[in-house]
Amino acid sequence: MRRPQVTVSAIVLIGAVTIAGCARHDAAEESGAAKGPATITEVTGQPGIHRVRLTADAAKRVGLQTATMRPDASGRLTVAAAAVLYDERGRTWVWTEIAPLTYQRAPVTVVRVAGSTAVLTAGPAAGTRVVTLGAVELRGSEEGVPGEE
Amino acid sequence: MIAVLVGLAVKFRALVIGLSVVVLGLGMAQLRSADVDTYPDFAPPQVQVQAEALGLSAAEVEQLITVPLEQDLLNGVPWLHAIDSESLPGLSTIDMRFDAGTDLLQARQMVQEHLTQAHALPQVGTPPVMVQPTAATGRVLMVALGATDLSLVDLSILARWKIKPRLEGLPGVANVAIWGQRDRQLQVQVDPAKLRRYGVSLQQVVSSTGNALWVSPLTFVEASTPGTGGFIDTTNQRLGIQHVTPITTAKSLSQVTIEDTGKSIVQLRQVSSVVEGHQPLVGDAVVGDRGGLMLVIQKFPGADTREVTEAVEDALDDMRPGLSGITIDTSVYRPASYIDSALHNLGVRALAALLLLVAVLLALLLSWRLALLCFVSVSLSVVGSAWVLYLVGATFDVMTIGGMVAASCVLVSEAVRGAEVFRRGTAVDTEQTLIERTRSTRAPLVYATLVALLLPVPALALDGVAGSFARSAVAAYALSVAVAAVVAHLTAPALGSLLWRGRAARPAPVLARLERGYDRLARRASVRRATAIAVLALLIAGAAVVPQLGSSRAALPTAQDRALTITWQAAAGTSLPEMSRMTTRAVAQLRQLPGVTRVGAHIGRALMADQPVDVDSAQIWANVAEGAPYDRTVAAVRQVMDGYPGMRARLATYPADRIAATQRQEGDAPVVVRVYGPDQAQLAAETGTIRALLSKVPGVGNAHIVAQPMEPDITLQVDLPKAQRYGLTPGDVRRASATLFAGLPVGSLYEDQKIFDVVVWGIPNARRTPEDVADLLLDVPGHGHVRLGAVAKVRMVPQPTAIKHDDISKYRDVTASVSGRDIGDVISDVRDRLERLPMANEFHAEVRSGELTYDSEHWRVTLIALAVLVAILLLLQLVAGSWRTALMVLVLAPAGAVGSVLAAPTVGGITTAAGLLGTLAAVAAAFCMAVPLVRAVGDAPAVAAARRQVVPVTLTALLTAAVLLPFALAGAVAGTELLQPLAVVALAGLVTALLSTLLVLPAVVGRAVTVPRRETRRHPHPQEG
Repeated sequence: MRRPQVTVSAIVLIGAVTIAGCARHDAAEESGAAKGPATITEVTGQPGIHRVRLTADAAKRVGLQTATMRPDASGRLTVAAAAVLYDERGRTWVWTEIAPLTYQRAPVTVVRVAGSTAVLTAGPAAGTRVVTLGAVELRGSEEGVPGEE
Repeated sequence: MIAVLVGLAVKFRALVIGLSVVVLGLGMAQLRSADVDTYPDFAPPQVQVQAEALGLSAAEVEQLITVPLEQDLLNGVPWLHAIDSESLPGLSTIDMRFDAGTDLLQARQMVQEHLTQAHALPQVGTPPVMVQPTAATGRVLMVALGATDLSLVDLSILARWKIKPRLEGLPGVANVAIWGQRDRQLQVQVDPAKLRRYGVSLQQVVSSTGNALWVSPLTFVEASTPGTGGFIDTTNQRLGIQHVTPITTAKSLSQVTIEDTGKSIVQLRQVSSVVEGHQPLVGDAVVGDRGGLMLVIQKFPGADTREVTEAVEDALDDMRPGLSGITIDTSVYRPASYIDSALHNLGVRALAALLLLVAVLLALLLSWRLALLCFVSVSLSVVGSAWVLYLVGATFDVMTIGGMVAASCVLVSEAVRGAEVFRRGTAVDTEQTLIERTRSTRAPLVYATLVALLLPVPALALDGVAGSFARSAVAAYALSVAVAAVVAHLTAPALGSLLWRGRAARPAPVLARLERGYDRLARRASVRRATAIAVLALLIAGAAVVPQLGSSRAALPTAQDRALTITWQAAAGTSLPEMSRMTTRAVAQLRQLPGVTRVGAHIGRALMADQPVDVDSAQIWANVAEGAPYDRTVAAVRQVMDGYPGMRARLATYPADRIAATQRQEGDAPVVVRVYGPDQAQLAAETGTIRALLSKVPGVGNAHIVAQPMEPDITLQVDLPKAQRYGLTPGDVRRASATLFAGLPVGSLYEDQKIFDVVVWGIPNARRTPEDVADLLLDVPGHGHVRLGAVAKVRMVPQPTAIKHDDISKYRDVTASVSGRDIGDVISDVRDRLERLPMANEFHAEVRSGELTYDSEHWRVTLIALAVLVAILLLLQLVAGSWRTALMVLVLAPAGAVGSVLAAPTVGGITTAAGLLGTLAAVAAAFCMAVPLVRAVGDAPAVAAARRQVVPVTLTALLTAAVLLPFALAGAVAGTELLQPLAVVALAGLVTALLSTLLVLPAVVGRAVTVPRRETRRHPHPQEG
C-alpha cells in the first residue's frame, strides 16, 4: 500500500512545482512593435548624422510635406523658412529627402529670412526636396524624445 | 465574561433586537450617501507652491524665483521630509513633502507664514502662490467648452469670469484650471521703423499708453496713482464726481497722442497698430474640430467624487441658458461614471450572493428559523461594519470592499456557530441552557476571532502607496470581524431565544446524511495517511509559494477604468503650433477607432494647474465605449499612438498614472548615485567620473548618466564697450527688448466687472525669426537708433528644458543595475569608494537604492509576521491546552489553505492584492474551522469530536462559497477587478481548508493529544449528542 502512495505523492508534488513554475510568467509586454514607425541608421563618414526611414503610414500620420529648393530672382539659394531647424548650438539644418520616405539632415547657412523664405549662402543644391512640415518629428526620431523617468 | 454578555442579551432581547433593526435600517439608509472612490488617498501630505513668470527662460526662473524662494523661505519649514523644485520656462514649482502623519492644515500654515516674506522677491511675473490641496487622484471632472459663433477670446472671457468663479465656489472643488485660456488684451504693437520715422522713443509710447488709462502697475508712469473724483457739498446735497473712461476699444486707444513730441502731434496709431489680442500662450486645448477650452476641475482630499461631479453638472446646467452658442461637454473625463458602473456591478453581484446564501440555507437547513438567524447575523455584520466605517468618515474604495469580502468567511462562520446552538441536540428551554450552550460554543471562537484579527497585522508595516492600500483593506477587514463577533454574542442569542422559545429545531435529513457519510470516510482514515497528506500539503504549499514571493513589489489592483490618458512627448523645444497640429491629428485618428469615444486633449500647461510641463508635452484623454472589448481597444489605441515617429507616448488610466508618479517619487532604480552641485558644466564632469567609478565596482552593470534634455535658447549678452559708445546700459537693452519681444503690461481696462490688460508689444513681423532679435532697433539716448546686434552678442546655446532641484540643489543622476551580488554589499562598496573620491567645492554625492529601502521594509514586515505567529501560537495553546497541539494547528491550519497558494498564479501571483487578500480569507476560514475542532478533540476521542464539527464546518464552507461564487464567476468588470481574483483564490483555499480540517486535522491532532487537558476554572463542558 505504501509504494503507490509514494508514487502518487511524487506525481502530485511534481505537478505542484510545475504550476508554481508557471507563476513566474513574464508580465513584461513586448514593448513597441517589432517594426516601429521609423528606422534610424547611421551615415558612415558623417558622425552624428542619421538617415531616418519612415513607413508610409508614419509619414501619413505626421502629415509630412516637402518642397523643392529654388534659387530666388537674384540667383541666391532659398528654402522655405518652415524647413529650417535650429540645433542646440544654433547651427541651422534642413531635412532633405534622399529617397522616397527616407530623410537626412543637411547643414545650411541662413543669411536672412524674408517673409516665409530663408535666403541661404550654403546648403544642398537647388532642386533638392526638403521637409517643410514634420521636420521636428524627424529630429525627434533621430535624437530620441526625453522620456518620463 | 461570555456568559454575562449572553445573559444580558437574552434578558433584554427586545432591546437588543430593536437596536439591531435600527442599525440595519439606519445603516442601509445612510450608506447610500457614503463617500465612494476608486482608490484610497495614497499621496503623502504635500504642499506645492507655484510662481508664474511668463517669458522668463528656465535658467532665469531658477535664478530669480526658485533659488530665493527655496533657500531663504521654504527650506526652514518644519516637518519637511523632502523639498524639490522644477524651473521651467515661465514657471517655478516647488513641491514639499511632509513626514507621514503631518496635519496638512498645519503644514500649509507653516508654509504660508514663510511665504509672507515673498514680497522681497524681484518683481517678475506673479508672486508665489500656494496651490490648493488636492486629492491624490485630484482630477474629478474635465469639461470641454466649444463655441460655434464666439471667438476663443470671448469664450475665455466667459469661462474665466462666469464659469470658473461659479464652479470654484462649489463645496469640494479645490481648483478649476482652464487650458487654452486667451486673456483679452488690448495690444499696442509698436513698429520700430515707424518710431524711427517719427522720432519717437519706445519709452514715450509706454508712458503715453500707461497715462491714458486709469490704472497702471508701472511705478514710473503717472497713472500708477490714479487719483479720485472727489465730491461737492452744496448747502443741501452731496454730489459725487466720477470719471468715465473713453478708452474702451482698440480704436479709441489708437487715437491717444504721444507725450513730449514737441510741436507735432503724433498719435499711437501712427507708430503702432492697436489691436485686440491675447497673451502669449503656454498651453492650449484640442476640443472637437475647432479650438476650444478645457476646464479641469480638481477636488480637495476627502471630497466625494460623485457628489462634486453632480454639483458641477448642476451648476453648469443652471448657467446654460446664459451661455447660448457654447457647447459644454462633461464626458471627456468623468471618473464618477466608472464609480457608478462599479457600484452597479457590485450591487448586482452582492444581491446574487445574498439570494444564493438564502437558497443554500433553506435547502440545507430546512428550517426557516435557522435560515433567518444565519441571514440576519451575516447581513447585520456587513451593514454594521459598513455603517461604522461611514460614521468615522472613511471613503469606500476598492480595498475597503476587498477587506470586507475577505472577512466573509469569518462572518459566516460566526453566524453558523450562532445557529448551531439552536440546531443541535435538545430544545433550548431555559435561559440557563441557552447561556451555557452559547458559552461552550463560543469559547473557542473568541480565540479564533482573535487569531483572525492578528493575521493581517504584518501588512500595516508597509510604506508608501502600498501601505495606504493595505491600511484601507485591513481596517475594513478588522472592523467586519469585530462587528461579527459582537453580533454573534448579542444579537444571535437574543434573536434565537425569541424565535425558538423552547421549541426544538427540526432535524434536516441532508445534514444527517452528511454526518453519516463522514463516518464512513473517517473510518478509512488512518493517522499515517493523514500525516502523509499533511506533509505533502505543506511541501506543495512551500514549493508553490517560494517562487511567487520573488516578485519585487506588491502589485496593486488596477481599475478597469474606461478613461485612458495618454501622455505625449515631442522632441525638446517643439513649438506650440506644431504640437497643436500633431495633437489635433492624433485626436482625429483616435476618434476614428471603433470603440473609442469622447476624445479631448490639452497641451502644455495652464495657470495654477497640475501639469508642470512645457508646450512640447500634451495629454490626450480618450474613453473606451461601453460594450467595446476593453483590452482590444486599448491595444488599438496603443498601436495608433506608437505609430507616430519622433513622439513618445505613455498610456495609462489616470489613477494608475498618479500611482506611478507617487511611486517614482519613492524611487525604484536599483542603484542611483545623485550628484549635487551648483554648476551645470561641473556636474556633467563629476557625473562622468562617477560613472567610470561605478563601472569598476563588481556586480554593477549598465552604469549610465541620466540624460538632461536640452533645447536651443537665444541668449543676449550686451558688449559693454560697444554699448557705452551709444550710452546704453545692459538694463536699458534688456528692458527695451523685453517690451518688444515679450510685451509689457502698462495698465488695466475695467469693463463690466471684468479687468483686461493693456500691453505694449512689438509688431509680429519684428519678432518672427531668431534673426529678428539681432535686427531689433533700440533707442539711443539723445535721438537715433542702433541695431541690437551691434551692442550685444546674440547666440544660440543649449539650455536645459527644465531645471530640477532636490533638497534645494541642482543634481544629476547616475543609475546602474545590480546582478550577481547582494545589493546591500554593492551599496556599501559604492559608498566606500565615493567617500574616498575627491569632489569639487560645493559638490557632494549620495547613494540611494529603491530596492534597499524596499528590503528594509521587507524586514520589518517579516519581523512583525514572526511576532504575529508567536502570538497566534500562544492563543492556540490557550485553546488546545498543549504546546504540541498548538504548534501542529499553527502549521496545519494555514497549510490547509494550500489551494489559495496553488490558485494564486492564475491571478498574477500571491503578492498581488487579490492574492494576499484571498489567502488571508482562506487562512482565517481555516483557523475558524480548526480551532473549535481542536478544542472539541481535547474532550472526546478525535473521531467523535470531528463528527460533531462536520455540520458547522461544512455549512460554513458552503455558505461562504455561496457568497463568493457570484464574484468569482461573473468576470472582472468595473468594480470587480479585485474581487473576482480574490474570490477565486479564497474559494480554492476554502475547499482545501474544508478537506484538511475534516479529514487530516482530527487524525493528526487526536494522536497528539496524549496528555489530559488541564482543568479549567469554568464549568466542565456538558456532554452533547
